[in-house]
Amino acid sequence: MSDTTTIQSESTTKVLSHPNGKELAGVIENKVSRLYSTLEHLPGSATNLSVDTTGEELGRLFTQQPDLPGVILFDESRFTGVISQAHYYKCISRAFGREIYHRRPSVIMLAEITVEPLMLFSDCTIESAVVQCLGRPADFVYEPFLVHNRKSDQYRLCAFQMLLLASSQLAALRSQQMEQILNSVTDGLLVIDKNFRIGGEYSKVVGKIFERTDLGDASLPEVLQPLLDAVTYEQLHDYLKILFDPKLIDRLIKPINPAKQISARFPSKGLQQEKRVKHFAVNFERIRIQSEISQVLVRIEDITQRMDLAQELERQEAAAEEKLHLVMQILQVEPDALNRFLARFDDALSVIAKMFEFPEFTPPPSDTIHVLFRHVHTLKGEAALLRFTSYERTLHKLEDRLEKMRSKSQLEADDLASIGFCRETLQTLVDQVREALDQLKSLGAGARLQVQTPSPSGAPQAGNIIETLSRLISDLSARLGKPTAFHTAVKSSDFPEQHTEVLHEILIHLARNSMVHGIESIQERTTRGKNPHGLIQLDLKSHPEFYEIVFQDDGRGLDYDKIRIRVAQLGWILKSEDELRSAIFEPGFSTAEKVTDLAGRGVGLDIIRHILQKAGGRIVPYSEPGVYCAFQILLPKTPHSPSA
Amino acid sequence: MKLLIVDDSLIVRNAIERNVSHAEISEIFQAENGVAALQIFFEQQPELVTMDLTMPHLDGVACLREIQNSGATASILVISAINSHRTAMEAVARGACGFLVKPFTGPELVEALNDLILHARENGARP
Repeated sequence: MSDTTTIQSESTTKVLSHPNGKELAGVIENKVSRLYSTLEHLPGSATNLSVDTTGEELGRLFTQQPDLPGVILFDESRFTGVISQAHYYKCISRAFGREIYHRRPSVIMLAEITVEPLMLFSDCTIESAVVQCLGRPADFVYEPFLVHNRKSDQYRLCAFQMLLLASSQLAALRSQQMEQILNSVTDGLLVIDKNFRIGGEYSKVVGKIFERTDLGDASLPEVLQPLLDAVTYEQLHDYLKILFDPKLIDRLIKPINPAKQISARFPSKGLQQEKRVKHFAVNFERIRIQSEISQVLVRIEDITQRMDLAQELERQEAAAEEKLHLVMQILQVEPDALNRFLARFDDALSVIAKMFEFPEFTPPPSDTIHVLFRHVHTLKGEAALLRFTSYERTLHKLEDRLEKMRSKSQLEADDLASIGFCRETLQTLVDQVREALDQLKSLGAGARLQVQTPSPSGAPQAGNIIETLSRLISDLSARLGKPTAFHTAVKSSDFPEQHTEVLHEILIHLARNSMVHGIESIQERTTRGKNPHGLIQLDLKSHPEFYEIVFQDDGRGLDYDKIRIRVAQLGWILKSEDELRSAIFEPGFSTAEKVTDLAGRGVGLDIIRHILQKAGGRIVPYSEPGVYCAFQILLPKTPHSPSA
Repeated sequence: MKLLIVDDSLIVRNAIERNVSHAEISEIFQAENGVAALQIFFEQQPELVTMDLTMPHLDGVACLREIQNSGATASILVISAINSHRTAMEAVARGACGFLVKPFTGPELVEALNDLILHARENGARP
């Protein structure tokens, strides 16, 4: 090839006739279709000419092939240099350029080129090639470069523009791929900078997790602040700060990540009243560039479902245990007491059923809520008595809900949902007891139980009021740490049959009240010089017209000062001492400072009066502060027909 | 490199020492309280320290403060039952560079110590 000036062109060489961005892009897209593509896929030409080729011949070639980046000159088979099209036109456009260069061998054009042409291997990556090309002296940055294929030992000349195009194509491909990844990962992925700002790219799930679309450039702490409680937020903020401290060891600061599991509260949706709680697991990976922490990759996982499932599982296990406990408990309960308990459930449920008889979405009148509230309160008391502790807790919660409704002057449509919830809960509870009973019966234990389906009027067998009371008192003695004796000469059978139920209920209320409010702690009693053990007494007398029952404790008695203050707080106007005493029977009256599940809601005494009124009886309190409190209950002997 | 193990429990100190197998550690010292720890620290100038936080006679954070105030540089790993966010943050402010939460497993400890050695080396400690 030394003497000839034939133009050799590699068959694989792709030479475009017109430089057109779109077409170029098309060519490259096909070739540079996978990431980390190398120069092997970059189009180029292998136009090898002899050093003797004249400038004129070169000019002709460039005219024919305007896209040719340049030619490679060989002296014999020895590589001499590269003349780019740009360089050729630069030479001949000088004064007398044509005269100087057209007749002479083109090799003289190389004389001015002081820099060796850049030669890269074909397995060099596009990215690295860009860096090396840009590293050339400013005048040569746009010159084509040689690509040497080591396998075939061939050289090609590639245009720098082609390389740039391939590089931008790759970047587009990469960001497209990144976007696909970010859209398909199930974790929330985002990157924050030193100022805790969220980078423009974050996974789709992040938006879903935070229920926001405007996260780009938002500050992560600002996004989190309204969702977290103040303490968690502060801790997380502190931790974000130390995440950017390069002196700390990446893996060894993970143990103090306060967001390994956090709860976020979101504003309620629609009619829902309570805030929605989501649980997140947040992990941080620090991105080091040189020795600095440039960014932190934040991975947020929504673990709400997982947590809920775990809780559900826990709940189910607890329910199973509860059921077993219930069965055990039923075995120890008097059938009568159980019957009464079940009957009371039915009463409460029938009150609710009546509420729903009203036209749809009409809130029930508030006095029916009072009735329901009383039923639930009594149920709670009986549950405690039967030692159905979980029932007691559930009913206490239910009572809480009703309490809130009770204080409203007008019920709203939303409260219907609460009543519905109430019905569901009560139904579940009563079903559980019946189910447990059925199980027991099928096991043959029913012989002892003999529980009948309670009838609405189902007066329980006169029986065990005394036993019940003594058990309640000894139970509460232990629970409250106030040892108290119960003295009575009355036998259960002494109680008038027509008043058994009423007395049962009233005495339980009174006993609870005595134990919680009346009897002082051992310490208090000792300081006051009283017997450290409390005493509760019960007496029953039969008069010609009525029965008289006296219930008495030797506790702190009625605190008239407190009652006066409370009466004043309530804005009641009372004149005589008598009126003051009976104030304690008014609905909403209670001087107990805190509500426990035992007593102290201002309910109890008003229930007693309510029940007694229905039975035609009345109650009178007597008390000496610090010494005793007694209640005299009077009930008629003749049947009483309560006025509606 | 020298390693100082500070913990009031002999069992924990020995558990840490048993798991140290890295070739770069030439000497190991133990201290059972903050006062003893500081004495050994200033005498021996270890490059590596594992520090308990709750100890009698000068607790871990106070100990870290003394080391920091002296201007000494060491790679300090807090090995403690970290139950307070504030204590952890204070330990970071006082120069701790990592945490291992008690109770830990053998592999966790080995991994943490390897990270600590790497950290010390990057900080210019001689092997």
